[in-house]
Amino acid sequence: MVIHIENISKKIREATVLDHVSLCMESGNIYGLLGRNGSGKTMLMRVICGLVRPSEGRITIDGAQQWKDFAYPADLGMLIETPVFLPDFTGYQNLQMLSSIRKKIKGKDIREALIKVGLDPDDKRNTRKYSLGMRQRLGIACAIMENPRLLVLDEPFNGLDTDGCERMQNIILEEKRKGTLLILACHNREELENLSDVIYRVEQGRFSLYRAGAGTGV
Amino acid sequence: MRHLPNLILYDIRFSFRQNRIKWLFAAVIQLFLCIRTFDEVSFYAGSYDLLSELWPVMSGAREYLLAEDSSFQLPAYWFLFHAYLFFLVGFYPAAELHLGNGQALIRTCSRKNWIISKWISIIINTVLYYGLYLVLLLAGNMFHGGVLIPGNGIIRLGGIPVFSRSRWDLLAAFVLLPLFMSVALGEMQVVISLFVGPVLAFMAILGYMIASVFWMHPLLAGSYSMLYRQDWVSGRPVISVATGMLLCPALIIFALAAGILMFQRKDILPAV
Repeated sequence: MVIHIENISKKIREATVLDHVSLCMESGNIYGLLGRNGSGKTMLMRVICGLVRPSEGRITIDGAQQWKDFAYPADLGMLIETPVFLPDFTGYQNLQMLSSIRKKIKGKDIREALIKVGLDPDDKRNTRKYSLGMRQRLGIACAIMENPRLLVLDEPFNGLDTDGCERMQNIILEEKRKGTLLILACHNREELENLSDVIYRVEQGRFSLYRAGAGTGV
Repeated sequence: MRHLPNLILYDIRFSFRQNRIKWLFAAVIQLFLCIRTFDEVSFYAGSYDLLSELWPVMSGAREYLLAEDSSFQLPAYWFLFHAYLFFLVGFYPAAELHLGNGQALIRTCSRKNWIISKWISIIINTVLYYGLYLVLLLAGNMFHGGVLIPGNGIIRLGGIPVFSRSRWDLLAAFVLLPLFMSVALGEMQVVISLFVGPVLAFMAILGYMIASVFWMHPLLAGSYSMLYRQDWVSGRPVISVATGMLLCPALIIFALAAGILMFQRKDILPAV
Protein backbone atom coordinates (compact mmCIF):
# COMPACT_ATOMS: atom_id res chain seq x y z
CA MET A 1 0.00 0.00 0.00
CA VAL A 2 1.28 3.46 -0.90
CA ILE A 3 -0.42 6.62 0.33
CA HIS A 4 0.32 9.88 -1.47
CA ILE A 5 -0.81 12.97 0.37
CA GLU A 6 -0.55 15.89 -2.04
CA ASN A 7 -0.82 19.46 -0.95
CA ILE A 8 -3.58 18.85 1.59
CA SER A 9 -5.01 21.88 3.39
CA LYS A 10 -7.91 22.08 5.76
CA LYS A 11 -9.57 25.23 6.96
CA ILE A 12 -12.19 25.22 9.67
CA ARG A 13 -13.94 28.57 9.63
CA GLU A 14 -11.00 30.98 9.39
CA ALA A 15 -8.40 28.75 11.00
CA THR A 16 -5.95 26.79 8.85
CA VAL A 17 -5.63 23.41 10.56
CA LEU A 18 -3.59 21.72 7.83
CA ASP A 19 -1.35 23.85 5.64
CA HIS A 20 -0.31 22.34 2.29
CA VAL A 21 0.79 18.96 3.62
CA SER A 22 2.54 16.61 1.21
CA LEU A 23 3.74 13.19 2.38
CA CYS A 24 4.28 9.73 0.99
CA MET A 25 3.82 6.60 3.09
CA GLU A 26 4.45 2.95 2.27
CA SER A 27 3.44 -0.39 3.75
CA GLY A 28 5.63 -2.03 6.33
CA ASN A 29 6.69 1.26 7.92
CA ILE A 30 5.67 3.17 10.97
CA TYR A 31 5.17 6.92 10.46
CA GLY A 32 5.27 8.93 13.64
CA LEU A 33 3.66 12.34 14.04
CA LEU A 34 5.17 14.51 16.71
CA GLY A 35 3.59 17.76 17.79
CA ARG A 36 1.73 19.69 20.43
CA ASN A 37 -1.98 19.51 21.07
CA GLY A 38 -3.87 21.23 18.28
CA SER A 39 -0.91 21.17 15.89
CA GLY A 40 -2.83 19.19 13.23
CA LYS A 41 -1.79 15.55 13.86
CA THR A 42 -5.27 14.27 14.57
CA MET A 43 -6.77 16.32 11.75
CA LEU A 44 -4.45 14.71 9.21
CA MET A 45 -5.42 11.31 10.61
CA ARG A 46 -9.09 12.20 10.26
CA VAL A 47 -8.51 13.29 6.67
CA ILE A 48 -6.71 10.03 5.81
CA CYS A 49 -9.50 8.01 7.46
CA GLY A 50 -12.16 9.86 5.45
CA LEU A 51 -13.83 11.49 8.44
CA VAL A 52 -12.88 15.00 7.30
CA ARG A 53 -12.75 16.30 3.73
CA PRO A 54 -9.74 18.44 2.90
CA SER A 55 -10.33 21.99 1.70
CA GLU A 56 -7.75 21.43 -1.03
CA GLY A 57 -5.29 18.82 -2.21
CA ARG A 58 -5.80 15.11 -2.67
CA ILE A 59 -4.97 11.74 -1.21
CA THR A 60 -4.36 8.69 -3.34
CA ILE A 61 -4.02 5.16 -2.05
CA ASP A 62 -2.47 2.71 -4.50
CA GLY A 63 -3.43 5.09 -7.31
CA ALA A 64 -7.08 5.44 -6.30
CA GLN A 65 -8.18 8.92 -5.30
CA GLN A 66 -10.04 9.50 -2.08
CA TRP A 67 -13.50 11.11 -2.43
CA LYS A 68 -13.47 10.15 -6.10
CA ASP A 69 -12.82 6.41 -6.16
CA PHE A 70 -13.50 5.65 -2.49
CA ALA A 71 -14.53 7.39 0.72
CA TYR A 72 -12.84 5.25 3.35
CA PRO A 73 -9.64 3.30 2.80
CA ALA A 74 -10.41 -0.41 2.59
CA ASP A 75 -8.82 -2.45 5.39
CA LEU A 76 -8.54 0.54 7.68
CA GLY A 77 -8.23 0.21 11.44
CA MET A 78 -8.24 3.34 13.54
CA LEU A 79 -8.10 4.62 17.06
CA ILE A 80 -8.64 8.35 17.17
CA GLU A 81 -8.98 10.10 20.51
CA THR A 82 -10.88 8.50 23.38
CA PRO A 83 -12.81 5.48 22.19
CA VAL A 84 -16.52 5.39 23.04
CA PHE A 85 -18.46 2.15 23.21
CA LEU A 86 -21.99 1.02 23.93
CA PRO A 87 -22.02 1.16 27.73
CA ASP A 88 -24.52 -1.69 28.14
CA PHE A 89 -22.56 -4.19 26.05
CA THR A 90 -19.54 -6.23 27.06
CA GLY A 91 -16.27 -5.56 25.25
CA TYR A 92 -16.74 -8.66 23.12
CA GLN A 93 -20.32 -7.70 22.18
CA ASN A 94 -19.20 -4.20 21.18
CA LEU A 95 -16.58 -5.57 18.82
CA GLN A 96 -18.96 -8.22 17.52
CA MET A 97 -21.50 -5.52 16.70
CA LEU A 98 -18.96 -3.45 14.75
CA SER A 99 -17.53 -6.47 12.97
CA SER A 100 -21.02 -7.42 11.78
CA ILE A 101 -20.86 -4.54 9.27
CA ARG A 102 -17.95 -5.86 7.21
CA LYS A 103 -18.43 -9.51 8.19
CA LYS A 104 -14.75 -10.14 7.53
CA ILE A 105 -13.92 -11.91 10.75
CA LYS A 106 -15.40 -14.49 13.07
CA GLY A 107 -15.80 -14.68 16.84
CA LYS A 108 -12.42 -16.31 17.33
CA ASP A 109 -10.69 -13.37 15.64
CA ILE A 110 -12.41 -10.98 18.04
CA ARG A 111 -11.36 -13.15 20.98
CA GLU A 112 -7.78 -13.18 19.70
CA ALA A 113 -7.73 -9.39 19.39
CA LEU A 114 -9.06 -9.01 22.93
CA ILE A 115 -6.51 -11.44 24.35
CA LYS A 116 -3.74 -9.65 22.46
CA VAL A 117 -4.55 -6.34 24.18
CA GLY A 118 -4.86 -8.04 27.57
CA LEU A 119 -8.66 -8.14 27.94
CA ASP A 120 -10.66 -11.22 28.83
CA PRO A 121 -13.11 -12.05 26.00
CA ASP A 122 -15.36 -13.83 28.53
CA ASP A 123 -15.52 -10.81 30.84
CA LYS A 124 -19.25 -10.30 31.51
CA ARG A 125 -18.86 -6.72 32.68
CA ASN A 126 -20.37 -4.01 30.52
CA THR A 127 -17.99 -1.40 29.14
CA ARG A 128 -19.71 1.12 31.44
CA LYS A 129 -17.65 -0.48 34.21
CA TYR A 130 -14.38 -0.35 32.27
CA SER A 131 -11.55 1.87 33.43
CA LEU A 132 -9.97 4.37 31.02
CA GLY A 133 -7.11 1.95 30.36
CA MET A 134 -9.49 -0.93 29.62
CA ARG A 135 -11.45 1.25 27.19
CA GLN A 136 -8.20 2.19 25.49
CA ARG A 137 -7.28 -1.49 25.18
CA LEU A 138 -10.71 -2.22 23.73
CA GLY A 139 -10.24 0.62 21.25
CA ILE A 140 -6.94 -0.90 20.15
CA ALA A 141 -8.55 -4.34 19.81
CA CYS A 142 -11.26 -2.71 17.70
CA ALA A 143 -8.62 -1.16 15.44
CA ILE A 144 -6.63 -4.36 14.88
CA MET A 145 -9.33 -7.05 14.94
CA GLU A 146 -10.02 -7.02 11.19
CA ASN A 147 -6.35 -7.34 10.23
CA PRO A 148 -6.09 -3.88 8.66
CA ARG A 149 -3.49 -2.97 6.05
CA LEU A 150 -3.60 0.62 7.24
CA LEU A 151 -3.58 1.31 10.97
CA VAL A 152 -4.07 4.85 12.26
CA LEU A 153 -3.38 5.23 15.98
CA ASP A 154 -3.78 8.54 17.76
CA GLU A 155 -2.23 8.51 21.23
CA PRO A 156 -2.52 4.73 21.62
CA PHE A 157 -0.63 4.76 24.93
CA ASN A 158 -3.12 7.07 26.64
CA GLY A 159 -4.35 5.68 29.94
CA LEU A 160 -2.33 2.47 29.64
CA ASP A 161 -0.27 1.02 32.49
CA THR A 162 3.22 -0.44 32.01
CA ASP A 163 1.86 -3.81 30.91
CA GLY A 164 -0.53 -2.09 28.51
CA CYS A 165 2.26 0.03 27.01
CA GLU A 166 4.46 -3.04 26.49
CA ARG A 167 1.61 -4.94 24.84
CA MET A 168 0.88 -1.93 22.66
CA GLN A 169 4.49 -1.69 21.53
CA ASN A 170 4.49 -5.41 20.69
CA ILE A 171 1.26 -5.07 18.74
CA ILE A 172 2.63 -2.13 16.75
CA LEU A 173 5.84 -3.99 15.90
CA GLU A 174 3.91 -7.16 15.02
CA GLU A 175 1.64 -5.19 12.70
CA LYS A 176 4.71 -3.69 11.05
CA ARG A 177 6.18 -7.16 10.51
CA LYS A 178 2.91 -8.19 8.86
CA GLY A 179 3.41 -5.36 6.35
CA THR A 180 0.80 -2.98 7.77
CA LEU A 181 1.24 0.74 7.16
CA LEU A 182 1.09 2.41 10.56
CA ILE A 183 0.52 6.07 11.31
CA LEU A 184 1.17 6.90 14.91
CA ALA A 185 0.69 10.11 16.87
CA CYS A 186 2.13 10.32 20.34
CA HIS A 187 3.13 12.97 22.86
CA ASN A 188 5.98 10.88 24.17
CA ARG A 189 8.96 11.63 21.94
CA GLU A 190 11.03 8.73 23.27
CA GLU A 191 8.27 6.22 22.61
CA LEU A 192 7.77 7.60 19.12
CA GLU A 193 11.49 7.54 18.32
CA ASN A 194 11.77 3.92 19.46
CA LEU A 195 8.91 2.75 17.31
CA SER A 196 8.81 4.91 14.18
CA ASP A 197 10.75 4.51 10.97
CA VAL A 198 9.98 8.06 9.88
CA ILE A 199 8.96 10.93 12.12
CA TYR A 200 7.30 14.16 11.04
CA ARG A 201 7.21 17.20 13.26
CA VAL A 202 3.88 18.98 13.13
CA GLU A 203 3.57 22.68 13.92
CA GLN A 204 0.53 24.81 13.19
CA GLY A 205 -0.66 22.49 10.43
CA ARG A 206 2.74 22.29 8.72
CA PHE A 207 4.60 18.99 8.50
CA SER A 208 8.40 18.79 8.37
CA LEU A 209 10.67 15.78 8.38
CA TYR A 210 12.11 15.23 11.86
CA ARG A 211 13.78 11.90 11.28
CA ALA A 212 14.07 9.91 8.04
CA GLY A 213 14.36 6.14 8.11
CA ALA A 214 16.61 3.89 6.06
CA GLY A 215 14.77 2.06 3.30
CA THR A 216 11.59 4.04 3.70
CA GLY A 217 12.08 6.18 0.64
CA VAL A 218 11.94 9.38 2.71
CA MET B 1 -23.74 -1.10 -1.63
CA ARG B 2 -21.64 -4.14 -0.63
CA HIS B 3 -22.13 -3.76 3.11
CA LEU B 4 -25.58 -2.16 3.05
CA PRO B 5 -27.64 -5.22 4.15
CA ASN B 6 -25.20 -5.83 7.04
CA LEU B 7 -25.36 -2.17 7.95
CA ILE B 8 -29.17 -2.18 8.00
CA LEU B 9 -29.16 -5.18 10.35
CA TYR B 10 -26.54 -3.45 12.49
CA ASP B 11 -28.69 -0.30 12.70
CA ILE B 12 -31.82 -2.26 13.62
CA ARG B 13 -30.00 -4.09 16.40
CA PHE B 14 -28.11 -1.04 17.58
CA SER B 15 -31.07 1.35 17.54
CA PHE B 16 -33.24 -1.03 19.56
CA ARG B 17 -30.47 -1.64 22.01
CA GLN B 18 -29.73 2.07 22.33
CA ASN B 19 -33.42 2.95 22.65
CA ARG B 20 -34.67 0.13 24.81
CA ILE B 21 -35.55 2.36 27.76
CA LYS B 22 -37.25 4.78 25.38
CA TRP B 23 -39.26 1.89 23.92
CA LEU B 24 -40.33 0.91 27.42
CA PHE B 25 -41.60 4.45 28.00
CA ALA B 26 -43.23 4.39 24.56
CA ALA B 27 -45.25 1.35 25.68
CA VAL B 28 -46.23 3.15 28.91
CA ILE B 29 -47.30 6.30 27.04
CA GLN B 30 -49.27 4.31 24.49
CA LEU B 31 -50.94 2.31 27.25
CA PHE B 32 -51.95 5.58 28.89
CA LEU B 33 -53.33 6.84 25.55
CA CYS B 34 -55.25 3.58 25.10
CA ILE B 35 -56.80 3.81 28.55
CA ARG B 36 -57.85 7.42 27.93
CA THR B 37 -59.13 6.43 24.48
CA PHE B 38 -61.34 3.64 25.79
CA ASP B 39 -62.68 5.96 28.48
CA GLU B 40 -63.64 8.50 25.81
CA VAL B 41 -65.04 5.93 23.39
CA SER B 42 -67.27 4.42 26.04
CA PHE B 43 -68.51 7.90 26.91
CA TYR B 44 -69.08 9.33 23.39
CA ALA B 45 -69.54 6.43 20.99
CA GLY B 46 -70.99 3.71 23.14
CA SER B 47 -69.90 0.97 20.75
CA TYR B 48 -66.29 -0.12 20.31
CA ASP B 49 -64.75 -0.08 16.85
CA LEU B 50 -61.16 0.55 15.82
CA LEU B 51 -61.89 3.81 14.00
CA SER B 52 -63.53 5.38 17.04
CA GLU B 53 -60.62 4.18 19.10
CA LEU B 54 -58.08 5.76 16.76
CA TRP B 55 -59.99 9.02 16.77
CA PRO B 56 -58.89 10.56 20.11
CA VAL B 57 -55.19 10.45 19.15
CA MET B 58 -55.44 10.89 15.39
CA SER B 59 -58.13 13.57 15.37
CA GLY B 60 -55.75 16.38 16.34
CA ALA B 61 -57.35 19.83 16.47
CA ARG B 62 -59.82 21.75 14.37
CA GLU B 63 -58.48 24.69 12.39
CA TYR B 64 -57.46 27.44 14.78
CA LEU B 65 -59.23 30.68 13.99
CA LEU B 66 -57.93 33.80 15.59
CA ALA B 67 -60.76 35.58 17.33
CA GLU B 68 -61.15 37.68 20.42
CA ASP B 69 -62.65 34.84 22.41
CA SER B 70 -60.48 32.06 20.94
CA SER B 71 -57.64 30.39 22.79
CA PHE B 72 -54.90 28.30 21.19
CA GLN B 73 -54.67 24.78 22.56
CA LEU B 74 -52.45 21.92 21.51
CA PRO B 75 -54.30 18.63 20.99
CA ALA B 76 -52.61 16.86 23.90
CA TYR B 77 -52.94 13.19 22.87
CA TRP B 78 -51.99 13.85 19.24
CA PHE B 79 -49.01 15.93 20.30
CA LEU B 80 -47.82 13.46 22.94
CA PHE B 81 -48.05 10.55 20.50
CA HIS B 82 -46.04 12.28 17.78
CA ALA B 83 -43.59 14.20 19.95
CA TYR B 84 -42.56 11.00 21.70
CA LEU B 85 -42.10 9.26 18.37
CA PHE B 86 -39.69 11.99 17.25
CA PHE B 87 -37.90 11.77 20.59
CA LEU B 88 -37.58 8.02 20.01
CA VAL B 89 -36.24 8.04 16.46
CA GLY B 90 -34.37 11.33 16.20
CA PHE B 91 -31.45 10.87 18.56
CA TYR B 92 -29.99 7.55 17.50
CA PRO B 93 -28.27 8.43 14.17
CA ALA B 94 -26.26 11.35 15.55
CA ALA B 95 -25.30 9.30 18.60
CA GLU B 96 -24.23 6.38 16.44
CA LEU B 97 -22.21 8.63 14.17
CA HIS B 98 -19.99 9.73 17.01
CA LEU B 99 -19.67 6.29 18.55
CA GLY B 100 -15.98 5.53 18.70
CA ASN B 101 -15.33 8.57 16.52
CA GLY B 102 -16.87 7.06 13.39
CA GLN B 103 -15.85 3.41 13.93
CA ALA B 104 -19.08 2.24 12.29
CA LEU B 105 -18.92 4.86 9.54
CA ILE B 106 -15.48 3.80 8.25
CA ARG B 107 -16.76 0.25 7.94
CA THR B 108 -19.65 1.26 5.67
CA CYS B 109 -17.67 1.79 2.44
CA SER B 110 -19.58 4.99 1.61
CA ARG B 111 -21.46 7.74 3.35
CA LYS B 112 -24.44 7.09 1.11
CA ASN B 113 -24.76 3.62 2.63
CA TRP B 114 -24.72 5.11 6.10
CA ILE B 115 -27.54 7.56 5.34
CA ILE B 116 -29.65 4.97 3.51
CA SER B 117 -29.33 2.61 6.42
CA LYS B 118 -30.41 5.27 8.91
CA TRP B 119 -33.29 6.23 6.59
CA ILE B 120 -34.50 2.62 6.60
CA SER B 121 -34.05 2.28 10.34
CA ILE B 122 -36.30 5.32 10.91
CA ILE B 123 -39.00 3.82 8.70
CA ILE B 124 -38.81 0.53 10.61
CA ASN B 125 -38.90 2.24 14.01
CA THR B 126 -41.83 4.45 13.03
CA VAL B 127 -43.83 1.55 11.60
CA LEU B 128 -43.18 -0.42 14.78
CA TYR B 129 -44.26 2.52 16.94
CA TYR B 130 -47.56 2.77 15.08
CA GLY B 131 -47.80 -1.02 15.08
CA LEU B 132 -47.39 -1.15 18.83
CA TYR B 133 -50.21 1.36 19.27
CA LEU B 134 -52.49 -0.56 16.92
CA VAL B 135 -51.75 -3.80 18.77
CA LEU B 136 -52.61 -2.17 22.10
CA LEU B 137 -55.83 -0.76 20.64
CA LEU B 138 -56.74 -4.13 19.13
CA ALA B 139 -56.11 -5.84 22.45
CA GLY B 140 -58.36 -3.31 24.19
CA ASN B 141 -60.92 -3.64 21.43
CA MET B 142 -61.02 -7.42 21.84
CA PHE B 143 -61.20 -7.04 25.60
CA HIS B 144 -64.30 -4.82 25.20
CA GLY B 145 -65.81 -7.14 22.58
CA GLY B 146 -65.62 -4.46 19.89
CA VAL B 147 -65.40 -4.68 16.08
CA LEU B 148 -62.78 -3.38 13.64
CA ILE B 149 -65.08 -1.27 11.46
CA PRO B 150 -68.72 -0.43 12.24
CA GLY B 151 -70.98 -2.87 10.40
CA ASN B 152 -73.37 -0.20 9.15
CA GLY B 153 -70.52 1.73 7.50
CA ILE B 154 -71.28 4.80 9.59
CA ILE B 155 -68.22 6.35 11.15
CA ARG B 156 -68.62 8.04 14.47
CA LEU B 157 -66.13 10.78 15.06
CA GLY B 158 -66.07 11.76 18.67
CA GLY B 159 -69.49 10.14 18.91
CA ILE B 160 -70.92 12.11 15.97
CA PRO B 161 -71.98 10.00 12.99
CA VAL B 162 -70.37 11.41 9.84
CA PHE B 163 -70.65 9.65 6.49
CA SER B 164 -69.50 6.51 4.77
CA ARG B 165 -66.05 6.17 3.24
CA SER B 166 -64.44 3.26 1.47
CA ARG B 167 -62.17 1.01 3.52
CA TRP B 168 -59.17 2.24 1.56
CA ASP B 169 -60.06 5.87 2.34
CA LEU B 170 -60.38 5.02 5.99
CA LEU B 171 -57.10 3.15 6.10
CA ALA B 172 -55.36 6.02 4.30
CA ALA B 173 -56.87 8.75 6.49
CA PHE B 174 -56.59 7.04 9.88
CA VAL B 175 -53.30 5.18 9.56
CA LEU B 176 -51.31 5.54 6.34
CA LEU B 177 -51.27 9.31 6.10
CA PRO B 178 -50.29 9.90 9.75
CA LEU B 179 -47.66 7.19 9.36
CA PHE B 180 -46.21 8.76 6.22
CA MET B 181 -46.22 12.16 7.88
CA SER B 182 -44.37 10.77 10.89
CA VAL B 183 -41.79 9.03 8.72
CA ALA B 184 -41.29 12.19 6.63
CA LEU B 185 -40.77 14.43 9.66
CA GLY B 186 -38.63 11.81 11.40
CA GLU B 187 -36.37 11.65 8.35
CA MET B 188 -36.18 15.46 8.17
CA GLN B 189 -35.36 15.62 11.86
CA VAL B 190 -32.49 13.17 11.47
CA VAL B 191 -30.99 15.08 8.54
CA ILE B 192 -31.18 18.30 10.56
CA SER B 193 -29.72 16.55 13.61
CA LEU B 194 -26.55 15.64 11.70
CA PHE B 195 -25.79 19.33 11.29
CA VAL B 196 -27.19 21.12 14.32
CA GLY B 197 -27.31 18.25 16.83
CA PRO B 198 -30.24 16.06 17.88
CA VAL B 199 -31.64 18.37 20.58
CA LEU B 200 -32.03 21.39 18.30
CA ALA B 201 -33.41 19.19 15.52
CA PHE B 202 -35.98 17.73 17.90
CA MET B 203 -37.02 21.21 19.00
CA ALA B 204 -37.25 22.34 15.37
CA ILE B 205 -39.60 19.47 14.54
CA LEU B 206 -41.72 20.15 17.62
CA GLY B 207 -41.93 23.79 16.53
CA TYR B 208 -43.02 22.66 13.08
CA MET B 209 -45.72 20.43 14.62
CA ILE B 210 -46.98 23.30 16.78
CA ALA B 211 -47.03 25.56 13.71
CA SER B 212 -49.07 22.89 11.95
CA VAL B 213 -51.67 23.13 14.70
CA PHE B 214 -51.68 26.92 14.61
CA TRP B 215 -51.92 27.32 10.84
CA MET B 216 -53.80 25.01 8.51
CA HIS B 217 -51.60 24.98 5.44
CA PRO B 218 -50.80 22.25 2.92
CA LEU B 219 -47.06 22.73 3.47
CA LEU B 220 -47.33 22.31 7.23
CA ALA B 221 -47.31 18.52 7.09
CA GLY B 222 -48.48 18.02 10.68
CA SER B 223 -52.01 18.83 9.49
CA TYR B 224 -52.09 15.64 7.41
CA SER B 225 -52.00 13.55 10.56
CA MET B 226 -55.00 15.39 12.03
CA LEU B 227 -58.34 13.94 10.96
CA TYR B 228 -60.11 17.17 11.91
CA ARG B 229 -58.11 18.98 9.20
CA GLN B 230 -58.89 16.57 6.36
CA ASP B 231 -61.24 17.91 3.71
CA TRP B 232 -63.89 15.27 4.27
CA VAL B 233 -64.16 16.24 7.93
CA SER B 234 -63.39 19.97 7.87
CA GLY B 235 -65.34 20.66 4.68
CA ARG B 236 -62.43 22.80 3.44
CA PRO B 237 -60.28 21.60 0.52
CA VAL B 238 -56.98 22.62 2.14
CA ILE B 239 -55.79 19.28 3.52
CA SER B 240 -56.72 16.20 1.54
CA VAL B 241 -55.60 12.59 1.66
CA ALA B 242 -54.52 12.83 -1.99
CA THR B 243 -52.27 15.87 -1.38
CA GLY B 244 -50.83 14.27 1.74
CA MET B 245 -50.12 11.03 -0.08
CA LEU B 246 -48.07 13.01 -2.57
CA LEU B 247 -46.40 15.44 -0.19
CA CYS B 248 -45.27 13.01 2.53
CA PRO B 249 -43.51 10.48 0.26
CA ALA B 250 -41.96 13.44 -1.58
CA LEU B 251 -40.64 14.74 1.75
CA ILE B 252 -39.30 11.29 2.61
CA ILE B 253 -37.40 11.09 -0.70
CA PHE B 254 -36.24 14.69 -0.35
CA ALA B 255 -34.87 13.97 3.14
CA LEU B 256 -32.89 11.03 1.76
CA ALA B 257 -31.53 12.97 -1.22
CA ALA B 258 -30.67 16.05 0.87
CA GLY B 259 -29.15 13.84 3.56
CA ILE B 260 -26.91 12.06 1.06
CA LEU B 261 -25.81 15.29 -0.63
CA MET B 262 -25.12 17.22 2.56
CA PHE B 263 -23.59 14.34 4.48
CA GLN B 264 -21.03 13.78 1.72
CA ARG B 265 -19.48 17.12 2.64
CA LYS B 266 -19.79 16.88 6.39
CA ASP B 267 -16.69 16.74 8.56
CA ILE B 268 -16.99 14.16 11.31
CA LEU B 269 -15.45 15.88 14.30
CA PRO B 270 -15.85 14.99 17.97
CA ALA B 271 -19.28 15.87 19.36
CA VAL B 272 -19.11 18.92 21.59
